[in-house]
Amino acid sequence: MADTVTFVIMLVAFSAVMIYIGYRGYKATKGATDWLVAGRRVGAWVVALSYGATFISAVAIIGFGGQAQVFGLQLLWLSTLVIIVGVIIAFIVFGYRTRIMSKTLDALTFPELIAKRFNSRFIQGFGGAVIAIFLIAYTAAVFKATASLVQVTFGISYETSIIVFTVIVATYLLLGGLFAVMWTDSIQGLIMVVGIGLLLAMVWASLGGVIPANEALAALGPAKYAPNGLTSASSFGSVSFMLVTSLIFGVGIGALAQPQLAIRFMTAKNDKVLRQGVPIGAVFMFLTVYVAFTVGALSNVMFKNNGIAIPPAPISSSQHSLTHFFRPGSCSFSCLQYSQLPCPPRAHSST
Amino acid sequence: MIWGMDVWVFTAFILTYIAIIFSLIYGLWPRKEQEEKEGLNEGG
Repeated sequence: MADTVTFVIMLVAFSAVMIYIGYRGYKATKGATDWLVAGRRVGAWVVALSYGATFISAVAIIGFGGQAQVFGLQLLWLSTLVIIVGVIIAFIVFGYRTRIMSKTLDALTFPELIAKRFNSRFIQGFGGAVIAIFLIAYTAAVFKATASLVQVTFGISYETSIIVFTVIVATYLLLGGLFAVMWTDSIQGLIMVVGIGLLLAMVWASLGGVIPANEALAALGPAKYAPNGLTSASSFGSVSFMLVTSLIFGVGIGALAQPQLAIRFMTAKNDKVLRQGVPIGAVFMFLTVYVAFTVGALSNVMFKNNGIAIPPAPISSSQHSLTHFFRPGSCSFSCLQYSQLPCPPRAHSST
Repeated sequence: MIWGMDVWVFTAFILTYIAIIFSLIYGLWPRKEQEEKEGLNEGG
C-alpha cells in the first residue's frame, strides 16, 4: 500500500512536470516547423537524450532485459551493436546528411523527406501508411510494457495504467509538439540512467564485483536458451544461436531505419550538435542497454542466492522477469537492499 | 574464460568500451574544419 501511495505521488509530480513542459512547448510553437521538427534549433544534450530515450524504450529495457535473463550475457552483443550502429554509425553516416537534406528540401517529416529526395508522392503516402500502421503496434508494445510493470509492481490495474499513461502522453504531445516530446524524452532519459545505473551498482555490490558476479553466473551451468552457460555464446547453428542473432541484428541494425529516430536528426541546430551528440548518445546507451542486459543476466544469480524460483524459460513470459526484479516491494529488490535476507519462492504472474 | 566470460562474450564487452572511447574522442575533440564545412553546407 505504501508503495502504491508513493507511486501515485511520484506519478502526479511526474505528470505535472511533463504537462508543464508541454505547455512550454505550446508557447514556443509558432508554426509547422516548430510543431514537427522543434524549429530545427535543438541542442546536443536534448537531441542525444531524446534519441536515446526513444530508441531505448520499455521494449529494450523491460523486454530485452528479460531476454538477457533467458539468453545470458551473450546478449551483450546487442548493446555493442546498439552503440556502434545505433548511435555512432547512425549519427555520423546518416545524421549529418539527414539534417542537411531535410533543411535544404524543407521537409518536416521523414516520409516528406524521402518523397522530396526521390520526387515521388507515392513514397510519401506509402511511407506514411507504413509508419502509421507499424508504429501503432510499436507504441502499443511500449504502453503494454509500462502498464505491465505498474501492474506487477504496484497492483494498479492494467487498464487504469494504460488510460492514465495515454492521457499524460497525449496531453503533452498535443500541447507542445516535438518540442515537448524531446524535452520530456530527455528528462525521462535522465531518470532512466540514474535508476538503472543504481540498479547495476547494487547488483554488482551484492555479488562482490564484476568478475565474481560473472563467475557466479557461469557456475549456474547451461540453461535452455544458453546451452553453453549464461556467460558463453551459443554454438553456431543452434536454436539459441539463431534466436540471439535474430534479436541482435534485427534490433541492432534495424535502428537505422526507424523514422522516429531519424526525425531527431532533423531537429538538430547544426552539425556540431550532432557531433557532440555522439558521445552523449553512446554513453546513454551504455548506461541503459548494457546495464539492463547485464542486470537481466545476473538476475539469475540473484534469484538463486535469495532462494527465489527462477522463472520458466518460455520467451513469451520471460519479459516479466525484469519487471519482477524491479519491483520495489518484491523479494529480489528487498534482498538487494538488505542483502543476505533469505526470501521464500515467489510465484510469477503471467499477464 | 576471461573475467568469467567466454571469448565471444568478452569480445562484445571490450568492443563496447572501445566504442564508448571512440565516441568520446570523436565528439569532444575540438575541430575547426567541421564548423567551416557546416557553414558552407548551410549557405548552399
